[in-house]
Amino acid sequence: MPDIVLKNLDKTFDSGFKAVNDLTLDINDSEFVVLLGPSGCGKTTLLRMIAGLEKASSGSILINGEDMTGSAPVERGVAMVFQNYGLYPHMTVYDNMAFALRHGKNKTPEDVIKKDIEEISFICKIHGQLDKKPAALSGGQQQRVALARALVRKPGILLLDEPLSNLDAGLRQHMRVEIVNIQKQLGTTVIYVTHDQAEAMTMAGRIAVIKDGELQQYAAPLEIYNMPGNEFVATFIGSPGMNIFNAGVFDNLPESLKPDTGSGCRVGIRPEHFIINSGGLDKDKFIFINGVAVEAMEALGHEYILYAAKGADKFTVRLGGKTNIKNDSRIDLAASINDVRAF
Amino acid sequence: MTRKKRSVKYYKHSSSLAAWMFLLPAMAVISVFVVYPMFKVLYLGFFKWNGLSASMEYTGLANYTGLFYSSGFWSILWNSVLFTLLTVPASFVLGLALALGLWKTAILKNVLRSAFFVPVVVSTVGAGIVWVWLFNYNSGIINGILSLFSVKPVNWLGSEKLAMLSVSVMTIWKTAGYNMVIFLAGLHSIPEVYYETCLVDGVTGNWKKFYYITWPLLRPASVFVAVTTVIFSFRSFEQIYAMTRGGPVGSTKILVYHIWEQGFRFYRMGYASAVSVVLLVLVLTVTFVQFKLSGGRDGA
Amino acid sequence: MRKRLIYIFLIIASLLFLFPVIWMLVTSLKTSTEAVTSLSFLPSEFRFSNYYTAWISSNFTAQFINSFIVASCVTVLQVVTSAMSGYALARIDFKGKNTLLMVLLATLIIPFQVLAVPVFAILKNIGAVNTYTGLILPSAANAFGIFLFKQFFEKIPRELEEAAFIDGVSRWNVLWKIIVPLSGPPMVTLAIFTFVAEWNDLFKPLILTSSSDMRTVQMGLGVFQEQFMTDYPLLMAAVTFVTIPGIVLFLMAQKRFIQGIAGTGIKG
Repeated sequence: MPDIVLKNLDKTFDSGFKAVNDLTLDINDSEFVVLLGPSGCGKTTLLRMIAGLEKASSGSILINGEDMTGSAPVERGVAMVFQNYGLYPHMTVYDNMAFALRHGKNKTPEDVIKKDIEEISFICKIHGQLDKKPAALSGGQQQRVALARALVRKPGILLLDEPLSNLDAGLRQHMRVEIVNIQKQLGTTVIYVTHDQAEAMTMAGRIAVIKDGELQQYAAPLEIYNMPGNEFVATFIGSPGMNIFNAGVFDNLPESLKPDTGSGCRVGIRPEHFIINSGGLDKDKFIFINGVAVEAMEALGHEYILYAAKGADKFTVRLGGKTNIKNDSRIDLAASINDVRAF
Repeated sequence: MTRKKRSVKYYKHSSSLAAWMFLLPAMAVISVFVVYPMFKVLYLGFFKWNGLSASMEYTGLANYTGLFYSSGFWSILWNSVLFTLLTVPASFVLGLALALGLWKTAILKNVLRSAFFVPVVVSTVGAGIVWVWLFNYNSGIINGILSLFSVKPVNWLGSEKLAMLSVSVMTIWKTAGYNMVIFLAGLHSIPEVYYETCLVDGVTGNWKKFYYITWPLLRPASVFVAVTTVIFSFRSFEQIYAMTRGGPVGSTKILVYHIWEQGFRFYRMGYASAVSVVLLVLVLTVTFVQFKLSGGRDGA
Repeated sequence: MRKRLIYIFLIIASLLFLFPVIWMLVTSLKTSTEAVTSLSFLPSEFRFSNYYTAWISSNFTAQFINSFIVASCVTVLQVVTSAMSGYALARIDFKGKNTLLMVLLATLIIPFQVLAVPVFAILKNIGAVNTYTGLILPSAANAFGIFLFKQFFEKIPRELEEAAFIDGVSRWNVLWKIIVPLSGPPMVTLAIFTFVAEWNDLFKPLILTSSSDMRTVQMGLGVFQEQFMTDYPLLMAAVTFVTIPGIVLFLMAQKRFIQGIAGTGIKG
């Protein structure tokens, strides 16, 4: 299966809007990469550039070491699943799947088409729907058909543009697992666009976090979560996201966490990494934040979310189990210095 | 329980009443001037009536047997069918071609679209008079241009063989813009994603994309254009009135012109009613067949 | 390359489509001798007096007034009756609604021309032949307008009315005070459609009037054509001023006009 290298890609639309800015990314073969970012960040444009549906303004796209920057989509060996599926409403599921094989660049004999469709429709669990028209299928089935239609071409690279965004929450969770399983089974290189971090965290081999057309961080999900590369990634990933503080809030911030720049020093702590400081914690291993006001609190059963403030800094704290903290009370918090990130 | 039921019933009753109050003015007009006349025309077909006197003479099927045995009627019926065959397919194809041309066009789009649409808003009588001038044998511009290529003048409206064709050309010119607008709206309602899917899947070639994607997805617009253009062609009157008065030698006389002439110039209202019934049956049958054909191909 | 060919095709086609109108304007400014003897595009001298001559050679003033009265009344009535019926069909659930919709759809298929004799008979019975009433009444309501409004009203959120119902406002007031003020687009579309169609119509006035006092512009144009059979500049001048109201209305509201037509096509 092919690998992909994106080098210094730029995309400026005719309107002057810069959708992708100097973006460099390499994707290994058979890897599952998720492009994650808020809506309008350029991730879909990037995917369409890889597909060949948008022209790059500058930079290059290499597939299997070959420069494909200006090539037509079909030469790139990609298949794509669109957000609204794009299933032809006037064709049956079978004809939808067979369409590219019959009329595409490499004409496939009917008996081979039949065999391939059977194989893929079993993998995607739509073998009972082949005679139906898309309108007769549920949203989840349409999604599977869209996936099957892309896979039946045996593409080296599969591009998915927010494929689950039209499904309800339960089905989405289920399809996440299935898509990953199918990808493992076939070994296809997958690039998957989403704004849903839960999808990114559960499906991706690596996540590329994108904001304003620029790559923020590119790493495995847990690394992104634990070692966010910048403040944007820190606050964007996790719900609630990481808390960002001015270093001055802490009563005992160790020198090792203070970057050279000094004055603008900011640190981040995830909500769940706070503990209640009831004394006896090692001053070298923990940092303290005392006299925190609890402004509001939500009980979720298995955990509590506290909306806390110290001075001008507002932040969230997540505490597991039971607690006797009350609204409008003041508490002392601490966090292990291993869980504190400096930016 | 009973009280609740009653109040629901009362509410429903009152909203039904309200609905009919709102509908009353329009329904009164449509009942009196469309629905009732449909039955009245059937009734009048069995009478001899000059349209002026108060008395009518019951003649049974005489009007119908009269037109059945008149060779004039059959040639008028044929003229109507011929007019439809000459105008509908050409106007359909031309409208579609213009729409396909304008579809992905950005520059000048509105100007071009308006140019094609202007003939639709010109009155048919006025347009007919203009085309009489264009088709003029001695000094019309069409023969004038032909003479530059040493073609002898053609008697467009004065010859039995060509008059129907000439009236059809004018009608196609007048209706193609309307069809273009419908097709254009149909084309713009096709999501771009289908063509992107083709692109990614390597299905290239404009003809292939048109045949497998555009044409099937354009079907609602095509059916609408086909049905309305056929109805338009069967109700055509003004261009015949302005251009040929049904001539020469009745070669452009079509059913509506015949109805007008028989009923309102020769005061044979009963006979005109019988012709109207034939036209009504023809329009209903053709429309019904068109709907069946378009719905029968596949049930998407 | 392909794009350029399409542009060439479109531009040539548009010139062909506009040519009759252009030639009409050019001819209307020539002398009658020049029109029949020369093929030159522009007149040797612009005879604007042709318009005046054409106007006074026939009774166009009275005919314009007749057409204006008839087209305006039909337009107002159609907008009012269509809005009311469209509202009932879009919003109120009542027995027989589906049947009624089918009947209305069927009336769209039936050409008025088929009903000419009975409509004439009905109007003759009530003494309305050769009157404005006779020309206006048969067109006072039309299924096309009803469907146009129905479609538009269905897109207006129900909450707007329901808030008013809770406050005790009647349906009648809801329609005129809440719904109609929001209905500019279909009203303008229908008004332009109806006015232009009535202005351009020949068949209906031809069968429903016989006295020359009641002639509309299109009938007048037909009579004028018979009178000045060979004086093409005068004929073209007459066609021009009779046609201009329609073209001006179209150009003023062309986007609406085209959207209106397109909307009926997609739904239909």
